[in-house]
Amino acid sequence: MEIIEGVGEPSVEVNFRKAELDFAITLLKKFASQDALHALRPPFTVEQVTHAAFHTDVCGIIDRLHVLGEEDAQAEREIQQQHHLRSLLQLWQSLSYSLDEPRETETTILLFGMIPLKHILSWRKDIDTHCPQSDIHIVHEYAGVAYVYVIIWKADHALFEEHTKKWGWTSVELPQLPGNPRALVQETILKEKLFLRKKETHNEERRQLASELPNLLLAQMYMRWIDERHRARSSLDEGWGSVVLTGWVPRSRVAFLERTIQASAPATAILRLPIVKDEEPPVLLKNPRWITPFQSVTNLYGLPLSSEFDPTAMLAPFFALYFALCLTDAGYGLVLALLFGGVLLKLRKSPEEIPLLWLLFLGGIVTFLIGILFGGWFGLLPEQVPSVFTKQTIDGTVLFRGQIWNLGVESGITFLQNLSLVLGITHLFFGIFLAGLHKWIHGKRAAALWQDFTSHVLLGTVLFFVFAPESLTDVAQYTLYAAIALLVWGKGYGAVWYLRPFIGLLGVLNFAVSMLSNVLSYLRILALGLVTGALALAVNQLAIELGKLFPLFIAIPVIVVILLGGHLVSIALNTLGSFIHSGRLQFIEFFSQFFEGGGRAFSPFRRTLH
Amino acid sequence: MRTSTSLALTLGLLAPLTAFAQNAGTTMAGSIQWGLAFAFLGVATATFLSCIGSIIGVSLTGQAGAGLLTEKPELAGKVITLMVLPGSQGLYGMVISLLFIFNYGAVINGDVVISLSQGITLFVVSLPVAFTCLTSAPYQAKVCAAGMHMLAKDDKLAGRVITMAALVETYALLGFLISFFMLNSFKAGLLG
Repeated sequence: MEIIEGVGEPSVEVNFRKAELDFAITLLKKFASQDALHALRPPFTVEQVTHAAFHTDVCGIIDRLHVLGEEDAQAEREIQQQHHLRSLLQLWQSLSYSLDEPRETETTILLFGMIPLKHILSWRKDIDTHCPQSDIHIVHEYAGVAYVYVIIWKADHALFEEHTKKWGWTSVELPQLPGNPRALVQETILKEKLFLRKKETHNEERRQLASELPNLLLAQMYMRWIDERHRARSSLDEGWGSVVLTGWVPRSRVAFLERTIQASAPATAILRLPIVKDEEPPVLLKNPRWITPFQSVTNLYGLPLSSEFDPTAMLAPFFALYFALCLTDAGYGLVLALLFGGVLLKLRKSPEEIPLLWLLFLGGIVTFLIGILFGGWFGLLPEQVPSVFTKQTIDGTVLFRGQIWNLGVESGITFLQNLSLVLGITHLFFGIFLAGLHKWIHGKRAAALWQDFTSHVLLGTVLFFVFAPESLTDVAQYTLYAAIALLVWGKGYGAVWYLRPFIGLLGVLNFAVSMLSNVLSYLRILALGLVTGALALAVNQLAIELGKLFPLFIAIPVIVVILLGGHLVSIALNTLGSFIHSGRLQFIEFFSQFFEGGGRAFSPFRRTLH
Repeated sequence: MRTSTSLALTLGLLAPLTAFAQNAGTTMAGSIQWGLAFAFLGVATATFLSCIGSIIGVSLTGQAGAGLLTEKPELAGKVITLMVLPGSQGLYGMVISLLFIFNYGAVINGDVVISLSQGITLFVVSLPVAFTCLTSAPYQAKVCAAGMHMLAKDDKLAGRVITMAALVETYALLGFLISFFMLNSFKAGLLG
């Protein structure tokens, strides 16, 4: 393969060849064997890529594919033509004349046409009356239509047309080909078979070419490298005796870059440029290792802008907790942890490489721990397991060991409901705090104090009012009033002083409604938590009831299959629901307080091998 | 589409009547407790209608999402997140139904007998959540579907699309809020 290299803009030639290569890969994937597709799995090595790029006849393969494509198109056109001809002649096969015989003499003319069978007698009578020298022959009758040919005097042609149209006559133009229709139909069948065989031969050739698919993919990767190098070089400004390269480097890597460049080219200066107006620097998330898996949640929403917080660390504990509370089944958590732990052990990949699997593994562990507190074990009731796994409370209730709350009774549900609401309030006020902190850091301290932190003052006074001893009730009440007044004044921040109370009042109203609705949205944790338990319970009941219908030796495998299948489906459904709804609580309720998102990912210049 | 939506709405409105068919309001003695029957009708309505809204909504976003995923399969995570948004309404309705079932145990067991007017009140309690969820989910789905077109052009806009879609849901949440408070305040008055 001829590789295009050089400095400057990516040439039209490079883009054209990339498009050609994409075409070949997409096409050959449809014809590739399982072995060839298996060989496509990354990652590859640099040597593999360069070897394939320089030793694969990419152009030859592409050219051959184009030729095959053109021949296929030609064959398809022929097939269509033969098909059309056959459908035209099919109903005229009883005609014994060759179609290339003359259809006109000096005095007569031969016409082909169709006429509804129900009018055929009336039409014949009409024609016999007005064109007595005509000769009518019915060739075929099919689906209420008669296929006829008529020989008439040329002089009577206009009269024939006039008297025949009213009976539903439709003229047919048969092609002037050598041979009668029956022979021509046979010929079309043979020709169509021939072209179909030709297409099959082409497909066989494509299947053979598909064995080169792995090499084409590597060549495509090489082309991508070249393209990226062209792009990087386009950032070079060449002067009389120097070259300037502008680009982004992670802040933590600047010193390393300086050292590396100084070592290889001492006459190099690295300058840090200020960010120009309206320029949006790319973003690279960097978190402690145990938080990295939660970056997949942030990425689902979008990266932060360069001026924003990375919300990953803030959402991580809440996400894990909500995920666990939505599942509330220690058994399911254990299955998730073991399943994804096993996969991670086999793959041996870091959280940066496969964050989602790590997240599900961590989620499984937290679910297991939280599930113990709620006594969720595959939907089993404490009475259904050996007594060694259960305990008896003072009031005689049997619970699982480690269980504190029972979601099967009203008190447990009320607890989960209140927990959901408390977590919601905490989460939302934490979000408001982050919004204030962001303003504070960016120098908008007054706005942070008035617009955001006044909400926390109000929360504090509400808590004081609720939990204050009776002797301090009056103090707590006046403190609360003061906090409300402060909040009204704070929410009116930015308006002229005489309008500030009214704007503030509207702001407080909006704040109250949005807080109430947002907090209630956290009740989905209660709903999902109960749904998991109910589904697991239903699977168990179904297995037992169905097992009762069979003798013991059949019942046991039936029960095992239903339990395994049912719980696996339940785990899959509930894990998806828990993940999505925990994420949604971050995206909509939490992020709306302080986070905008929409940042551009930092994409360094490098050879990608996947 | 309009026909199927109308059919779904009609079925949704009629379906809670099964609460009567299942003798929900019949006491052990056999006389009908119309108050309890209406309360159950409300419980069924809340879940039925809000779930129908979610079914329509999720199917609409699913169709748009399938189209986008054929072009850009790497956006699966963002598309599924958007797809599930109109599914929340079903949960809101279900929470109201669950809260009734678990908090009104004394009424359901027959320990506390409620009058017809109290039963109708409990039925009315379900209406804000039922109707706001039924209507908001399909409209939210339309916003999500339009947002998926935005994602097709620029996947960095996922956050904004989610925010826009959430604005529609605000009104379902308001309906949920009112039903929630009505249910709790009525409980306080009825059961103490």
